[in-house]
Amino acid sequence: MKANIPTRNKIKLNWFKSKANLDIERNIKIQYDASSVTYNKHNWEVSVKYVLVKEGDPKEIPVNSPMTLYKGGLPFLFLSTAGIIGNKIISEELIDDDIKIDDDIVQVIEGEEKVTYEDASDPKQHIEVRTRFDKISRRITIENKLDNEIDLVLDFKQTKDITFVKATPEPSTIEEPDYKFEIKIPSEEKSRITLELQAKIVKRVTKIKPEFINIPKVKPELIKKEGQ
Amino acid sequence: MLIDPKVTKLSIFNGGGGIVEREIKLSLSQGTNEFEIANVPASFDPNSADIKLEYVSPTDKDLITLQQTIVSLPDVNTSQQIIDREKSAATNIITYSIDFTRELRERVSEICEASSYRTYADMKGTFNFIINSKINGEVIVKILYFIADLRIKWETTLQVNINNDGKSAEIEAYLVVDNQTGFSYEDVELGFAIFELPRDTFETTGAEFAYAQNIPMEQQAFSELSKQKRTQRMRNLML
Repeated sequence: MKANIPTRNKIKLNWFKSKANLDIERNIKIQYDASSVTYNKHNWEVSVKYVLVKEGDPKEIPVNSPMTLYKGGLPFLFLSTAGIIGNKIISEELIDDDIKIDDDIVQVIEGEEKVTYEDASDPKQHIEVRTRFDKISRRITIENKLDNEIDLVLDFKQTKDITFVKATPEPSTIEEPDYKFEIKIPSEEKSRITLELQAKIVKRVTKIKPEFINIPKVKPELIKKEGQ
Repeated sequence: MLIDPKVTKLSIFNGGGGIVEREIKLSLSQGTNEFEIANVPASFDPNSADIKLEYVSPTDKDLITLQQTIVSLPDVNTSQQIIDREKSAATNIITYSIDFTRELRERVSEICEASSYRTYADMKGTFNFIINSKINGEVIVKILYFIADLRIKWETTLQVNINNDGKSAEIEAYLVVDNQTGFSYEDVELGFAIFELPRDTFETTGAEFAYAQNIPMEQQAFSELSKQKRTQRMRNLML
């Protein structure tokens, strides 16, 4: 390719034109810990990325190249490339503001507390460990505010304290610790998932062992009489 | 003799900088022939500067030889003083010009803009070479050097037109070359590479170069030890 590159100027050259298949990948990642699982409300965010599989020879496109998406001849999204794998052009991940997620607590059933003891560093003390397993029910509502139907994947990740019990509807794929729900939501409609979870709540308190608790004896003569 | 070989190829890096290839056919006289290459920017890397001789006749190989190349960069402080003076003169031209008619105004802005953008990298470097010839003849000289100047770079822009079905699209890709250096390249074969020059080789402005020179040698060596380099392979675009 031959061109003139004048000083202090920008020049634009045609590179290639190609047809491509477009795939829009939307993801919601949900994960709780022993504390956050009981929050009244969570607002999760949907990440979206555009994957273009182009026809013809692969092209080396540098990362962070600007990319403008046009629909009906008008630009509607400005983003940049995140990577290229063969013929796949992958955009950066963005937060999709047109999909709203509300995660509300429905019910908490506290389990029976079991008390065990552990040694503390001080021999006169011990650690009282109170463990209980709570059953928690949460409802996740996903609202599609776009004017077209969307597909998305909700990925609930189990943690050491929060385990999955069941869900309505059932997960589409289970690859522990990931429970994935493939959801299709028509335009301007809502979809709901109810998660039933078990939370392991552990409280640790360091206490003096009962045999070492001294109640000091007060001499009768030291007790002041009223009015003195 | 001062020569100005034509830039035949310019391979630009997306991270800034590039490789310049120049070519010229020279007439040689018997004996020592000394040449000075014009328009070599001070941003050129003296270590990468290379000269190759291409012989018009195969028998010339033993008769025409490259004796040596001589490369150097202009002094940073002196260059900076010249640039500062130019900038100050440009300001004075704008302030005190009496006649500012249309044609003159454009000419004045052109001169003043050129000086306001000028940096150390826009100064001229020295790249001389000596050819020994046992005959009066001709030789084609190919010159190659890296330019470590972040102000020349390229990027791609993609225009993705999504079709009504929402499942297919048409991609239109463009290459945008941004040349903010003081050098122009006319009718040049372009190459594009995905590459970033190592940070410690940047000498685009006098200030940065001077900073690197101010670090004591032993300290520079020590700081290099702590840095473990990562592989960085240049990838050329298939145009």
